[in-house]
This record gives sequence, C-alpha cells and structure tokens, in this order.
Amino acid sequence: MGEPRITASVLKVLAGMLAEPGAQRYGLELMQDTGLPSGTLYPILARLERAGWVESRWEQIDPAAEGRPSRRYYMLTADGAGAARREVALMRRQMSRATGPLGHAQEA
Amino acid sequence: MGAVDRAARAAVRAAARRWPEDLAPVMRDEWLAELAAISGARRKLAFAGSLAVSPAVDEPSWRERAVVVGRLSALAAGVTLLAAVATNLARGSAALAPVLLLLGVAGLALIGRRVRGSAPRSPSASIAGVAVALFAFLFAGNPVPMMPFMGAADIAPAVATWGIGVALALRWAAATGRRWIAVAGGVVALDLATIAGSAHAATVLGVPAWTAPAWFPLALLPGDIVAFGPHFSDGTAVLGGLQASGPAFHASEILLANAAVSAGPMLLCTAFLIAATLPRPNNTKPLTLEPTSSTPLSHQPTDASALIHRLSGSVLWVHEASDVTPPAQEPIGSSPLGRGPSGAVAVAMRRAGARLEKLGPGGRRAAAGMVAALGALAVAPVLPAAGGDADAVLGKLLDNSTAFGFGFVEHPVGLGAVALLAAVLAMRATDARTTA
Repeated sequence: MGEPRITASVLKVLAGMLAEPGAQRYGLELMQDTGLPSGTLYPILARLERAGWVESRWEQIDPAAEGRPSRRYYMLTADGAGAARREVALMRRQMSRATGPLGHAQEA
Repeated sequence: MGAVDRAARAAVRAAARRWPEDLAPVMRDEWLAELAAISGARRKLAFAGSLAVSPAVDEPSWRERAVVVGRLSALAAGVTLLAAVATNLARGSAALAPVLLLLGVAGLALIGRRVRGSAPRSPSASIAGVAVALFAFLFAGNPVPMMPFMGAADIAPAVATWGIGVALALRWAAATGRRWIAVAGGVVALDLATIAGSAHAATVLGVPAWTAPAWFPLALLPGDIVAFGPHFSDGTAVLGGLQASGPAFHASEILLANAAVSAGPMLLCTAFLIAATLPRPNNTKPLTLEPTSSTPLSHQPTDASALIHRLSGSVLWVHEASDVTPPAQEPIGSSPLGRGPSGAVAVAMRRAGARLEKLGPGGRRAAAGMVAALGALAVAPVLPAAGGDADAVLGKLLDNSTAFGFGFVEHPVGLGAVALLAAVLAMRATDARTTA
C-alpha cells in the first residue's frame, strides 16, 4: 500500500479532516470545507482510503424510517492523522520559507 | 421525482460505472445518498456533473490526457506534413517518382520505428490523429482546392476508408501476430481509399468502374503510361469552375493525377503507422518521446553531439575518448582528423558539438526548436499552394506532377502554426535523444 501523491487538493482534504481529527465527515461536508468539486474530492478520498490514511463506514440508519438512504462517512485513521500532520506541516514550512522575506517586510 | 433529479441520478450512475469494479457500486450508492441530501437543482446538477466529467480514481487526469492528446496531435500533424512534402518532392521528379516514393516509404517507416515508444497503446488513436490531419490539411487547409476533385465529397470518403482499413489491418495483424497482414491490409486499405476518394471524379468523368482497383497503383506512376476512359480531343476541361485548355487527354489522366495528391501522403503515413505498431526488432532502440530523469547526462556525450561527431566521421574518436571528456577539451590539433571525410568539416562539426555540450539540455532543446521553427518559416512559403490558373493545373494533371496543397501556409496564422509545430517536434526529439 503506497503513499498517495500529495497535491494541493489532497492537502486541502487532509487539512480539512485534521481540523477535527476524530470527526466523521461525509463527502458533501468535505466539499463545502475544502471548496473542491465532487469530481475532485471523491477520487482523492478513494486514494487516501487505499493508502490507509482514511477509513469509511456507512451511516447506521433505517432508510425507510428516515426517508433517505444511508450516507457514507469518512474519518482519518491514526496513521493517516500522523501522515496528514506531517504533510501539512511540511507544506507550512515550505510556504513560510517562500513568504518569509515578504512577511518580514510587511512586519517592518 | 423531477427531471433534474432523474438527470442527476443518471449522471452519477454513469460516473460510477467508470470506477473500478470493487468501488463502483459503493460510490454509486454513496453519491445517490448525497444527491438525496442536496437541496436545489443547481447544486444537484453541479454535484452530478462534476462526477460525470471528472476522471475516475484510476483514470489519467485531464492534464495527463491533454498532454497525451497534444503530443499525439503534434506527431500526427508532423508526420502528415512530412509525408506531403516527401510526396511533392517525389512527384516533382517525374520518372523517378515511384523510386522516391519508395524511399519515402522507407524513411517514414524508419521514423515510425523510432517513435514507437511515444505511440498510444491503441493504434486507433494514432490513425485517427493522422486521418484528421490529412483531412484538415487537404480540405480545410486549402481554401482553393489544388485539384478539381478535392471537395469534402472526395476527401472525406478517402480518409475515412483509409483510417478504418488501416485500423482493421493493424488490429488483425496484432491479433494473429503476423506482420505481413498489416502490410497487405494497409495496401488494401490504400486501394479502397483511393477508390472511395475517386468515385465522385470517376462518375463525373465517365471512367469505367471496373478499372477502380488499378487506380491506386497507377496514381503512383508518372503520367502518360496508361490511358483509359473518355477521350477529350479538344483538350478543354472545366476545373473547379475554371475553364482550362491544353492538349488532348483521357479522363483517366485527370482521375489518376487527382487521386495521386492524397494517395501519396496516405501511402507514406501508412508506412509510418505500420512501423510504429509492428513488434520492434531486438536491435532497434526506440526513440521514446517520454522524457526520463534517470539518465546520467554528465557521464556521457549526448546523442546530439554524438550525431555531430558521427557526421564528421569521428565516431571512432568518440568511442575511444573518455566518457567524461567533452569534445571541447580535446586539442584540435591532436584529434584524429584523418579519420573524417574532411578536415575542415570535421573541425567545424566538432566545434558545433562542443558548443552543443556547453548549452546544456535546456539550451540544446531551445536551439533545436529555434532552428526547426526558422527552417519551417524559410521552407513553408516555397511549398506549392493552389493557384487560380486552370491551364497550369491541367498541365500538372496530364503529366501527373500534381502536388499536395500547402495553402494553409499562405496565411500568417497557418505559417506560424507550422513553425510552432516544427519547433515542438524538434524539442521533443531533442528531449528524447538526450534521455535515450
């Protein structure tokens, strides 16, 4: 099981899920949090799940009683949370290096 | 359930079918559940539409697809233009035309072998690309047709028949593992394509249909070898709305010369496609257009400079020299100039090779693109384009020296596009040579 390729969109998903690491999030909610369209988000979730960074489960409801079908929830695994923190931190370091002089200039 | 819901549900079902088998039903159920939770027609359609047009989890991204399509298009356009130029050169040589066409076939086949690594997995994509390029250059690229029978009714059936025929031949050859099937099938496809593209002309000119199987081979021969069909003793004809007059002629001369304009390039393109598809002999190294980053460039002379040395006759010197010694460090006076064909030429070529070494991969790439673009800008304007002189057209028809029309380079946009295409192909070839 290889590590997923980290792109800007993948980082958005990881950062969005890291906001509440133990929370169970459904796809539509992640779309709203990340601003990614469905066609971008779901392949990313599938790749993260294959890599073991994310796990999913179906909502336990009675569709007939609720009047709607069960939805699928996603959550970070322990490995995924660690990897996500590492990747997001790496990106922050790279961004701070890139914007460092600009930030100092603004502060001055 | 309204029409929007039905459309959105149909879209996500279609999108799910493109996913891997183990995920498809799960994703379909998940997306249908999300659709049920979404309020508003616009949001439902946006959710479903994005899934419908986006690549599935294991499919190449749009960027990757665009790169593949771009490379395929450039290659198809380049091969078609090269085949057209080679055909024009051959046809302009009168009696030597068949020999030069055969040389062109060999040359395009060689190029096909070299670029095999960059060809798509399915040869149908390559064939479709070349077919579109042929149609575009012959029809849309020539506002004034070169020949009297060069309308959509002539070119479209020819190109479509050729494309389908070559695709079937290659598929059959691949299924059976027999290379000769591709060659024989390609010849049959060319014959059928020539018939399809000349049927309209034959009907107008009154050429008997039983002669149709011979049109393709006869079109490749110089004029005045055979004649059949009605005889126009007064030497007058109406060509594309223009009245032309000349010596007496047979209808077959018009038909065959007209067919030759597309038959030649299609023959050369067929050679390229078959060579690019047939299994590669063990001793031929493919010139892949996919750059790799693993080649230790600093430890070997590049192919570009090696080619320069080979041309200057000093290939032995290259092999004998240290791999890490660039040619520029070798004193000119101590190099074995006697091994080359000419001392002055060898020195010049070696200096050029040394300069190429100094440029680095990016510089060589840019230099190759610039040279190719400038070359295209210099050559393209002298390529034949359609003229309004019907008498001249009739003369070319009668001696079968007709030419593939390059009317598209008369417009600055067309000329610029050809130069850009030459630059792109040259840079890609340089990339491939550098990393080979």
